[in-house]
Amino acid sequence: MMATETPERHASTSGIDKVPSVVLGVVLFVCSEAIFFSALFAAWFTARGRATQWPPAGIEIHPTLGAVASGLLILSSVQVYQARLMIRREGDARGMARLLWGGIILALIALALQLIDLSGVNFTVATNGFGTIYWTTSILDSAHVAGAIVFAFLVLDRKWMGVIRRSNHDLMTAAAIFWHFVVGLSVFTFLVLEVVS
Amino acid sequence: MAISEAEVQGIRPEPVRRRSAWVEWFTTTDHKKIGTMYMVTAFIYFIIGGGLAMVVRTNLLVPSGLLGNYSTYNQMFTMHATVMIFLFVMPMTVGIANYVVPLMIGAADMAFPRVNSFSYWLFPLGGIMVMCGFISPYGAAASGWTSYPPLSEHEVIGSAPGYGQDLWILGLIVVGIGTLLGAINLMVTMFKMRAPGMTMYRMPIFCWTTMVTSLLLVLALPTFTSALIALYVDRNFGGHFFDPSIGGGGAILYQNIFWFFAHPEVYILILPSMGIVSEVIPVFSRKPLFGYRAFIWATLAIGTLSFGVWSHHMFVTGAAYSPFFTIMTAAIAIPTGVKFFNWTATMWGGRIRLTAAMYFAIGFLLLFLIGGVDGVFLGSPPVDYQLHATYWTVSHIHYVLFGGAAFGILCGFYFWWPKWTGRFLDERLGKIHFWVWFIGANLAFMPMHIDGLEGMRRRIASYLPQFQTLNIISTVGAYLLGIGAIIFVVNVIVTARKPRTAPNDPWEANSLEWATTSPPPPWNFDFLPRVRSERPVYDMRIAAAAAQAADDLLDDLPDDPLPDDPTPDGGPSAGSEE
Repeated sequence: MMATETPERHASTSGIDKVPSVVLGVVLFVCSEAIFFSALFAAWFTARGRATQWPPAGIEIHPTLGAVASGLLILSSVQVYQARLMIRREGDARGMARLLWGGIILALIALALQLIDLSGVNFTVATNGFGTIYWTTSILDSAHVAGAIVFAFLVLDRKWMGVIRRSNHDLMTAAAIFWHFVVGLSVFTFLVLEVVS
Repeated sequence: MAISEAEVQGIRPEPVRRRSAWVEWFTTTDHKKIGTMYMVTAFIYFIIGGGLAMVVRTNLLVPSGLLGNYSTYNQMFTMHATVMIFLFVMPMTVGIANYVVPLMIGAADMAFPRVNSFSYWLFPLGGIMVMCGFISPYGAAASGWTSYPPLSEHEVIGSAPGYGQDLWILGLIVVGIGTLLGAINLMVTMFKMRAPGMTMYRMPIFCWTTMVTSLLLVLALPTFTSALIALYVDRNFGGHFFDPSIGGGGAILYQNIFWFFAHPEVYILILPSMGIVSEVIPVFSRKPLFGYRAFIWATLAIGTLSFGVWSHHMFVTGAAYSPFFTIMTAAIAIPTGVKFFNWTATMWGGRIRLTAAMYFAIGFLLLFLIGGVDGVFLGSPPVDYQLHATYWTVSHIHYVLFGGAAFGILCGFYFWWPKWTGRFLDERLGKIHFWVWFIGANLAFMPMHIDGLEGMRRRIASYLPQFQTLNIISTVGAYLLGIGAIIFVVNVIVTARKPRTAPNDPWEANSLEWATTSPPPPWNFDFLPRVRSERPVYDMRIAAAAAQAADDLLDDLPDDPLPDDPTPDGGPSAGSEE
């Protein structure tokens, strides 16, 4: 007995089958990113566990700018969350874009503050283990904030093309997941590197 | 001559612009073409890696070493392992999966075709970066495929590691990103693109092993990327990630991060081959796979346990909690044993057809068994202290990765070649290839056990004279492996000139890829059989055979099949509802 189903029709019965492909892909990517940073934090905690003094003598940390940047990133996350709700519930692509722009601007300011903060520290990558891990983790964290901004621009590009609609907002959902992850990562990085230190 | 609707309406039709074959291949998003490119590129790297192995083995023909330059020898064995692991086995299995997984699950393509293309192009790019080490000052990377600091951290003037080590790091980061994206793509494809009726428990075993492999890549590979970035920062920006004297984490930190990736990596390399063999053995035993669900759970168990054994590579550092990792290492033998039971029980009582693919499947079982058993010895700390840095370990990894992974890959080649090309590989040459490789592998790697037990250290360009005889045998074995590879290439070239005679299902196989043409059309399927078990094509064949039998029966019946009184004793007539 041969059936005549075309390849475009696929079984959608279990829970994971209902998750859009792009969202599932981004969730898996976020998992891999979490593992990537966990190795860097493992290095940080290993170095800290070995140290008799932490931060090492002569290291000065001023968490003010980092705190402001983290606050702005959390606000941007709220913006992106609302942007997704706007398209999902209201189907308002223009409102979504407006909120997304707000998130992008907040993230850009936060990114600038992070870089200013980094340029003002009194140690370099080569100073000691603290400096090496601090600089590497901070730069990679900032690079991820920049990546989230690029992802948001991709969503805006699709909105301008008229692709993003209430019935087709998977890319916005995926971008939001990545955005929230990056903000969580950035806040965690700030707490570990600057506050707990 | 047919007239199109556009012409009827007076509209000049858009001319169909045909792209050249080069442009087509460079820009393709077709999973079959990308899979083919993966396999061809990986095979080229296999030839390069094999050539490096020949240099290594030739050097070891005499105790003092023929190369006369230890730095060159270090580069050769480092690049041999790097090429074979990262540029041959990993991408080759990704290539096979790229080609067959969408076909096996009845999908038209991968979930993200353009990401798939991007993933592929990162692979040759990263590979070229790694290989460029040979033309850089001080040569290629030379600190082993593990690249432990401090050996890999600092430039040694006039010797490796120089810029080649940096190229090694950057190249593997690039390859790793491509592999990670490929793994995510494969997982999403299997979760989202399955044909109607193709539940998870009806997916072919190769899909399951690819799924677990992809999951391992997603969860393990990023730690390696972290370690590589840290190594690069230490080498090029004066960093101290792995320098405890100035507040860093220490060399043991690198080993922990590296092996957290690299032990699952062993399963990343071997699980796809296990899946291939699990597709081949049932087909050529004319039986379903024994214990299909047990096999799946064993695969999941191996994937899970593989994250709990990394420190058994570090027993000799004294920094590993031995009891836990010993127990975990022993435990991982259980699901592996389940799989051996599945394979042997499948063959038991079957009508075995000894094709070249089946030869390689049986060769896989025998050689991987040796590699598995001699690995268990290394899981025991007292034995590991003695054997860790010896040729025993070299023998173990080669039985696993050559006898296991490479035999599995070749098994897949002989099995799916008619599907990929529409042509059969020559069976006689295939069997000669098998025997040359099987004998060569045992000649090359079995004496290494004795070398190791006798205390011959690995990664050393020279050795004591008493080991020479065994080393000569190993070198002869390695040459045989080279000859076997040439036989395979000859087989491919010779059969490439033959006509496409392969039918859709030349082996009377089970999974969906055999329901389409050989080779498949760009859209994969003209129709899909209904999927009601894990063997849909077998079901289709049975249904077709039953329909044919029914037709034959009807043809055999007399013209008047229902006589007035078919039962002489007056009982119920045929067709009555009693």
